[in-house]
Amino acid sequence: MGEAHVPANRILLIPLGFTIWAAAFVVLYATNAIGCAFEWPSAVQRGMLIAISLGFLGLGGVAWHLVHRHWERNAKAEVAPAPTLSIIGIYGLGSAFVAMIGVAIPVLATSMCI
Amino acid sequence: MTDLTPETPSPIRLHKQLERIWGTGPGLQRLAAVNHTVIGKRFMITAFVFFAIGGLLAMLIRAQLATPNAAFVGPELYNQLFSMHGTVMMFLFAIPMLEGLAIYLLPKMLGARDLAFPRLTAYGYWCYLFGGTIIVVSMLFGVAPDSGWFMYTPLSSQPYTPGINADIWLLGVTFVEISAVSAAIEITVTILKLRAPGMSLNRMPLFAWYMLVTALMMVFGFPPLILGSILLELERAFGLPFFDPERGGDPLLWQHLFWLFGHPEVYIIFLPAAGAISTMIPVFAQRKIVGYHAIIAAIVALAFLSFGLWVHHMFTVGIPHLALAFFSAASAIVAIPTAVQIFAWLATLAHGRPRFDIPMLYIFGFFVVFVIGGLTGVMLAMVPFNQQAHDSYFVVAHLHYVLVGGFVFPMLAAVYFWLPHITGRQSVHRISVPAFWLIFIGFNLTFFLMHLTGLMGMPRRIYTYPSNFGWDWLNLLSSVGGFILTMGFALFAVDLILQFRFGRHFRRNIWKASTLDWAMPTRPTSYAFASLPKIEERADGIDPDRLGAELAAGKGYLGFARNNRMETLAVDMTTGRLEHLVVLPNATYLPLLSAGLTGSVVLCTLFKLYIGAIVFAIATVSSFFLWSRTTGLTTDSGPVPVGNGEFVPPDVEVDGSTPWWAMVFALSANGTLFASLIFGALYLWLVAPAWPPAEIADPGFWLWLAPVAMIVSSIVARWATGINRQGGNFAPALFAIVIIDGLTIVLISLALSALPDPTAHAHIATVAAILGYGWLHAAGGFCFALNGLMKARGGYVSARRSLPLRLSVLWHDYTAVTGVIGALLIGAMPMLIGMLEGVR
Repeated sequence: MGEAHVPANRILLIPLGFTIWAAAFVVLYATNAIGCAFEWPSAVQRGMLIAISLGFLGLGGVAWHLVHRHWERNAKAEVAPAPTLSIIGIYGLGSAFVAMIGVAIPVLATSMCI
Repeated sequence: MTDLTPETPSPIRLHKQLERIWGTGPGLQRLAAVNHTVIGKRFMITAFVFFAIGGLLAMLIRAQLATPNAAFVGPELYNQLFSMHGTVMMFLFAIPMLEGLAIYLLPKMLGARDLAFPRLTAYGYWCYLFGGTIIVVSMLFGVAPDSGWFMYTPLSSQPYTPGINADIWLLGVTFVEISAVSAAIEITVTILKLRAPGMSLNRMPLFAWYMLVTALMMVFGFPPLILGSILLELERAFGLPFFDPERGGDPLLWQHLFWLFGHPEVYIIFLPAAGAISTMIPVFAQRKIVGYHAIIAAIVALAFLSFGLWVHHMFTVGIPHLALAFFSAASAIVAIPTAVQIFAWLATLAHGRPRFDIPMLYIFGFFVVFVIGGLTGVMLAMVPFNQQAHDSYFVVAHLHYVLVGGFVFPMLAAVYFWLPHITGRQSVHRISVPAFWLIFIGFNLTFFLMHLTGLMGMPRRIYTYPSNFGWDWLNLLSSVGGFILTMGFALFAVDLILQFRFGRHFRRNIWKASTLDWAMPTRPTSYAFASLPKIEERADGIDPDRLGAELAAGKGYLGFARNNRMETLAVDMTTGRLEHLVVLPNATYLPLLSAGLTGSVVLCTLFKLYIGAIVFAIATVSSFFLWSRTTGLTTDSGPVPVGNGEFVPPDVEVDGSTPWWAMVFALSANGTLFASLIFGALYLWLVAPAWPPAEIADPGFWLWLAPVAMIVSSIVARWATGINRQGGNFAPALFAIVIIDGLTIVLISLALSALPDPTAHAHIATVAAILGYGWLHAAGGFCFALNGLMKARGGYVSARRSLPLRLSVLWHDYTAVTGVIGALLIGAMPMLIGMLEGVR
């Protein structure tokens, strides 16, 4: 068999994008719940949620950029299934980024609590 | 290294030798079966039996609702009927059916001889059968669950459901869930490790990708429900008020835990069906699937997004507006990856040369019904519409379009597609066509009209209705449709029986498929492949006819029988590089014994015979020791020949063996349960009424000694492994672990005894639950250390063969981490409760 090795942790590229999305989702939901329970002023809470959203969007964007750049530079040199994992990872990061925007948009305008 | 590869005998002789090793014996020996083909079929047949029972219940529901003011059944019985219908269909049909299909197909599609843990497969089946039987038999005694398949509190709490109805659901479903999680772990490890050499991840068939994602969703999705069931049973049996708002609990905590499981569950059911569709459509389109990579990305997206939707089942309970918007957005977004798959299937058909046969008819039914269900799902994702349609028949219509469209139609297609594989016969009758149309028309007549009754205001779960609301004709037509649907299923069953009995025999690969499952005799032999293939292209584009003949002649890997052992191969997770030899356990009655003992624990708990439950729990754990007793090798082996001139070590001599990975995934499931418990504690603190509590739970300094002991135990476990690697005597270190774990149990018991009455307030109850979790894990560590000693005494441990010690390290590391987190949370609770002063 071939001697080439692709470490098992490369599989984690596949869920990377949506792991960031899930973390963003949980942090946004938890912050909103805590803010409402402790009756934070609406502007403060909104500011925090916007900051969190931007932080995670930035994180997702950076991750997409790094994986994409790595794939462009190394796609031909790497053995299977590394390129496939990178491609699926890039798809995942891109769609998770869009999903993050979709979930974060209500932060801009929706009323905070009950 | 000399080549000691056993000679490949003639194909007939090889078949006889392998059949003797892998086959299931006659008569009572069938109860000892561990073979994936046998167990997979049992799962599917049992699931269809439960499907028939669930269908019968549905007919009784429709008979009752056919006319207004009907007195066919009373309200109590009606509550049992709809609760049992949902429970049976979701827990006893859908999940086991997909498990059965995966168990039957996966090794064959991956090029392995069996799943990674055949005894676990059998144990899972017996747990499913016993758990399902307990639930169904309860109907005969009139004590079936009657609080809905979702078991909402406070309706299911002791004051409002004082009988054992709810207990049967909680214990029976948990029993079945054990089966599901064990199957999920097994499927995950099998897909990652037991593929044919050369099958890198990018060559894996889509069905395996679907099942991998589904199994991981089960690993992470089911523990919240298992935890919720345990907490509710603790409340019902011992009064710990997790869901009682008067004592600091919250009924909404149950809804969160239930739907954290419940919504991913919909996709857990849909994804395997979609995997089957992704396998069948290329066969009938006569071209490879379009968008292989995009589909994998879509499956992963779907899996994650499905965990972010659960609150859309709770839009009307009163949660912050912004949270509604988060979940509404996620619920709408999930349609996109679903659509990606649908467009990929349509593109495959559009770019291929489609030929039509019975499976395609059911796939057509799937497209129509599932797309309608998906569109009404997007409607329900919108908060204003959801609040109008909530708990109405519109939701009943939607969920049936999604579940029947997304699971039943594809499964019927899959049955027609793979039944020739199972029976070795092809259908000669055309009953399947009228059966399809009866099912399709009956289904749409039944459920499409429910959209209208729902929009006209008919609530769910009412046992009757007055005649002046305009619902009469719609309900009557729905009931007529239900009976047409039943006739269709009856015809389908007749068709299957006829095919089993009178179907024509065929040689191989009846559909001209291009996956490995057809590169074998049909019906399949017990060992699946006489020799294992080497994969050099994507595994959904092979030529089964050529490859099958070569493999039957023993020209692949392991084309021989050796030492009466069940052997298959494991590969590197990513590249599919040949890695090690896996020796599987032979047929045994132990899974049946262990499942019987586990069932006894459930029954004793059900009837509040707690001493008996403890005795049987100890007996169950002891039976698992018996599983481990003779597993492994007593001497170092080194690399052994596996054919094609290659040598690999046996599984017990490698680090990343299948049991090690199984432990990783089991602890992942366990970690999800622990995270759900922490979530529950914090949720109650933040949201539940009747906080702050009158009394703070303070376990004293025992609380801090216990995690210290856990950390020490973890360090000693690593130390024992290190000593073993250097060839030293590690037994004293294992003895030390036994003593430290015993001490940890005592410390946590003292901490528990220092608590105020845990029935007084949910805060004290959650602290007790976290301590109880630590207690159980210390006891588990004690068992692992004992097992290590037992294995060492039997000669099963050496510097090379260190699996029992490494499993112990994993367990003790996990226990230490969760122990520290649990202690920190308990320690922080007084401060957190102090923060509530002035706010609540």
